[in-house]
Amino acid sequence: MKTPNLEITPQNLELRFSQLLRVTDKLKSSKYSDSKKKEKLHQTLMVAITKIDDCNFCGLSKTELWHHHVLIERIFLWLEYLVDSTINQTPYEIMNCLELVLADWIDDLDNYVLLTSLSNKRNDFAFHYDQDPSLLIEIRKLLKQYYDIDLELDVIRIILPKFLSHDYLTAVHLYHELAHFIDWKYSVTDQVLFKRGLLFRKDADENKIKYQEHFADIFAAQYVDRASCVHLSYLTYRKPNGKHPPTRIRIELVENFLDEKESMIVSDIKKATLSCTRRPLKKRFKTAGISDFNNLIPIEVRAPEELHGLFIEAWDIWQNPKSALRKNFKRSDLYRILNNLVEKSISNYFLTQAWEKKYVSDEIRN
Amino acid sequence: MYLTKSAIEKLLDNKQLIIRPLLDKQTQLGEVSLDLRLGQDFLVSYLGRDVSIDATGETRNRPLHIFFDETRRIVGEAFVFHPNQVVLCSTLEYIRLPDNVFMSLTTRSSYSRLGFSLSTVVQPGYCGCISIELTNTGNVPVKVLVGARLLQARFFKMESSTKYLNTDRKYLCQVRPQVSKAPEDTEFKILKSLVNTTPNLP
Repeated sequence: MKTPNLEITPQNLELRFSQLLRVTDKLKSSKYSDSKKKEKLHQTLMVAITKIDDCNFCGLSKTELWHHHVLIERIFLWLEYLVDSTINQTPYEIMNCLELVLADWIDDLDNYVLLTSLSNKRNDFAFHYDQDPSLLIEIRKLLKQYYDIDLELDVIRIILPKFLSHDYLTAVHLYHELAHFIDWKYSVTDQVLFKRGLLFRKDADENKIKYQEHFADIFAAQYVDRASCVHLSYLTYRKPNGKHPPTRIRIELVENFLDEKESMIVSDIKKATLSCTRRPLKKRFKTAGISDFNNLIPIEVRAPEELHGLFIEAWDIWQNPKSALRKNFKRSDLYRILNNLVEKSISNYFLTQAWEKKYVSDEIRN
Repeated sequence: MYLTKSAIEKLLDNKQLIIRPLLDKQTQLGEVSLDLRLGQDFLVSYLGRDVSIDATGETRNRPLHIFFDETRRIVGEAFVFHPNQVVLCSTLEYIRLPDNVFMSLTTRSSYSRLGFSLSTVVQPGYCGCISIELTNTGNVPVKVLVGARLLQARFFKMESSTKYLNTDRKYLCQVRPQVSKAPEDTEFKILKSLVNTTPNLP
């Protein structure tokens, strides 16, 4: 056996592509009926794979081999996410909530598709996206150049634990992770660091991580109040992340934001957010005074603010040792009941919205 | 007492009877009944490596859910019921019944004519989507739209109230179909002990 060549060879590209075809076989009949954008991405990738399959890798130059390596790796990555994004796998109720959040902050939401990957790790909640926007531009260029394929969509990849994919208490963490995407898109943290004169100091990276976390905490609190802090304090208890700011300070800042107390950090983050996104950081949730959850029935949600409020209502009951439900049910039953009630409230909201929209438009037509 | 349209409406208005979502009250509410829709989640029975489903409560046996495949649809998609395959599904509607009203659930005649049959009773005070066991007893597969008005509920008022939550409930606040929890029945232990203690009856 010869020493491996450090360049991309036709043979190792053929191996990778054969692996890709194996995944493709499993995906061919996948259904993504919750999202036309996923269907569109799927179709585009299938066309690309079919065309690449006809390509003779041995006839490619070094540059062309490298281009095909980039394409194949990217298609592989997206397929890995599409596998878990089918109607049977993806928890589309929580995904729909996150899309509403994105709609608050992104004008060109139609260009983005949310894909999910289910992890076996219990604390795996993350948003992944291309940190370097030029990479996607390059991939689009290569698809057009070699195979005359137009790829219009950008992909946001969400990871969540497989066994907790219908856990709506823990799902509040995704609001925090989504905030990192918004921060990246608008460079909010960079703006804060710049204004505070911290951007070009030696410890800029350290400060950046701190402010990124503070921004994400406050961003999440807009939608889920203190619920994300409750989970955060559990996850970081006795095992603080060295790079992240202390949990105590993070929670304090969230409290300051929610209670509208004076805080220089909160104030700086609010100003930078407004300046970068042209949108204010403010409370974007509503809760009913007395929750229907206490009567074991789903809440009739009428607006997106109330939708985000569902997570708060569920946490309020879970956290309250004096709640009637706590007294009447075993903890495992209460956990199941709360998750069921949140899920049904969310799905009822989206279904009712769609039904009313269709019903009204049909009536007008008739 | 058998409840008529006005009585059912009154219960709905007073929020004694909860049905969420009630997408089209005008169409769903009949003179003596209320139509319920087919939900989005399904458990489809299939033949696995085990030779039989053991519902005797033997703890060493594999759980019953392994005999079913879970699948989801969105409202408006079709679901195919194959002949003689047990499909567990649920109502689209989450229901909470008053403490003095029970509900009888059957398939609408339009669907009975296609080979479906169901007859079940839901106890007073029940809350949750209702798990239903549907089998296509015909010879050909039948495609049904998710969200279609497949079921018909009739309501009966009792002279006195009951407390649904006074006893442990196996299927409380469910939003998707559940496999049988028969093996959790508490008298299984007693039943099994009778084998060695009672004389054989003729």
